[in-house]
Amino acid sequence: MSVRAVVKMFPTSFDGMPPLLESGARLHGKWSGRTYSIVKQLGSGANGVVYAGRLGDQIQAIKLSCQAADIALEYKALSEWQKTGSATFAGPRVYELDDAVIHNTPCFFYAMEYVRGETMDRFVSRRGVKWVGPLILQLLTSLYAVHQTRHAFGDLKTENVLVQTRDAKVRLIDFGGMTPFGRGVRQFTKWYDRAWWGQGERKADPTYDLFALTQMICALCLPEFEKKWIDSNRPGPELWGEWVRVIERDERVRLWKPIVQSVWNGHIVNTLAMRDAVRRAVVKGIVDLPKVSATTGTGRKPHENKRLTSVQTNHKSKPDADWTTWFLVLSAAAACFAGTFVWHIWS
Amino acid sequence: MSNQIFRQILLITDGCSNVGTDPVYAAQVAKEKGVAVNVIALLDRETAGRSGQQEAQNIAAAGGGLCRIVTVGQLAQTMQMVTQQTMQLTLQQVVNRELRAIVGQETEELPPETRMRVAKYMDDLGDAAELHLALTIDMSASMLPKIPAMRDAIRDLELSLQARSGHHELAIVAFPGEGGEDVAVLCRRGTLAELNALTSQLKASGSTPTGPAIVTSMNVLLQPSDGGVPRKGKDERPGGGEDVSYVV
Repeated sequence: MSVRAVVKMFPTSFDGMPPLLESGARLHGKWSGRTYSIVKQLGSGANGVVYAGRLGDQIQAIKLSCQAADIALEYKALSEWQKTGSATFAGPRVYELDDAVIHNTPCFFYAMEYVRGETMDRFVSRRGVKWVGPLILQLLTSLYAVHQTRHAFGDLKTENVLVQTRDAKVRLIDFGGMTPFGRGVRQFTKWYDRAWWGQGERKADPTYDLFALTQMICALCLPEFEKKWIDSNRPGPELWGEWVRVIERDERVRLWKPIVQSVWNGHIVNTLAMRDAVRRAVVKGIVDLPKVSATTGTGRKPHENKRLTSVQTNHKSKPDADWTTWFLVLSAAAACFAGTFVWHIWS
Repeated sequence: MSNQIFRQILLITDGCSNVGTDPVYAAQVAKEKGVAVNVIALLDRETAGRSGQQEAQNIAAAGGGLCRIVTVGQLAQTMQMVTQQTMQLTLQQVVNRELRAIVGQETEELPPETRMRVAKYMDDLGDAAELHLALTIDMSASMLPKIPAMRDAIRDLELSLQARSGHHELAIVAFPGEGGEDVAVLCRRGTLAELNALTSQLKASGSTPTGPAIVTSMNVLLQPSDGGVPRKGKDERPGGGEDVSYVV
């Protein structure tokens, strides 16, 4: 094969990444004829970059890569799922698959909905671990929808989950790891990969995602471990025993321990079972409120729970009312209503 | 096409070759024989200067493979990605040849919708295809601190290979060998258990005979899979592969 042919075969330069686009640069789609104006870079992964790009008066997210096949397969999985018109579609909406030439390098991209929000770890570190339960519940609904398409999400991690700024709704982003059941997972991250920990195969099935989800819960409640342990370069199977003991002992994951262990032991094998368990834990968390709030700093505005002062002690006050408050207020209201109703019947 | 065997060398090094055959020449020979040569160059402040990186790129270009320059922390992920992508590229060449013959176009010239279907077809083929992979590992002294990460990465690669539906065989070739020879074949067709035992033997020493290592790896891959009959290839002698001519 001639040198030219080699160059043509490997248009990717030597590091496999597409050439970088400055903000203001134009991306011209060869097939659609559309031109996107790059606003900024949103993120980059192992073999691609995501940009925010303006098309007319709309901002879209554009995933750009030199790997034609990866981009095409990712787009295919998302668009086929979207086309079923399923109400449970949980991905970003995809608009267009196209290619472009950037600095003489052929690149491939697809345009999708631009999801505005912050990553789950940042959201939780800012607003408190009390959010873990409600967010995981939402995430399980999304994962259930993914699994209904006979795919695993694959690369499930806090960085790939965005919490929308406006409504705290959870959105999955980066579907590069989405893999048909039974096939080797396309993209994954050590900490969330059960095979790396020596806890099973790297094959896509519902439990692959559930394992990643347990790691996510633990990483959110015990944020100091992931980086430290991955940086130590020790092999996963060697760390596993230690990790199990951490989960066993650490007070901060007490609420989640039974669920995490059930997934690890194979007692919980699908999203529905896990959702039930998480729902129960969330309710239990509310019943245990004084303890939870004492360890996590969950706070309520004093004036909002005058009637609840008997169960509340030592809270720091925080500006925003959280969902647990609403739950308590609503139950109190329901109790009042029931009381009135009974009184009415009696009289 | 379903019975095609993919043969790849994955060379992992952190420096420049300094003994024996020219590695770029050896890689070219390997490519001619249907063995793709991928290179991962490990970044290291002391050793891998510009010349090492340049050599890595030249070897990959001559061997029809990919070159990645990464830190030790990225090793495991890169090993998998490179193996996977090279297989896809090889498949793409085959498919492109057929497409050219049938419709006069290549995959990348197809409209997105059609290309999507071709990509899916190639992905299925790649998953089912047989893969023979030689991990050719630089064991010169500067690699010593990277050996634990290397061991972990090999185990990890094996996990990914196991998740494929196609059969695979993994060989491990170290250069230089422990006893001072240029190249040592640590294992020809490893299973995970054997690999674990073997990789615990990885010990760094001596010079960097990259060229001879490529030749030996190629010979290991080209040996017919006949079930462990010991072979008398000259490439096994100490200093094997000094001269490429006998394998051509």
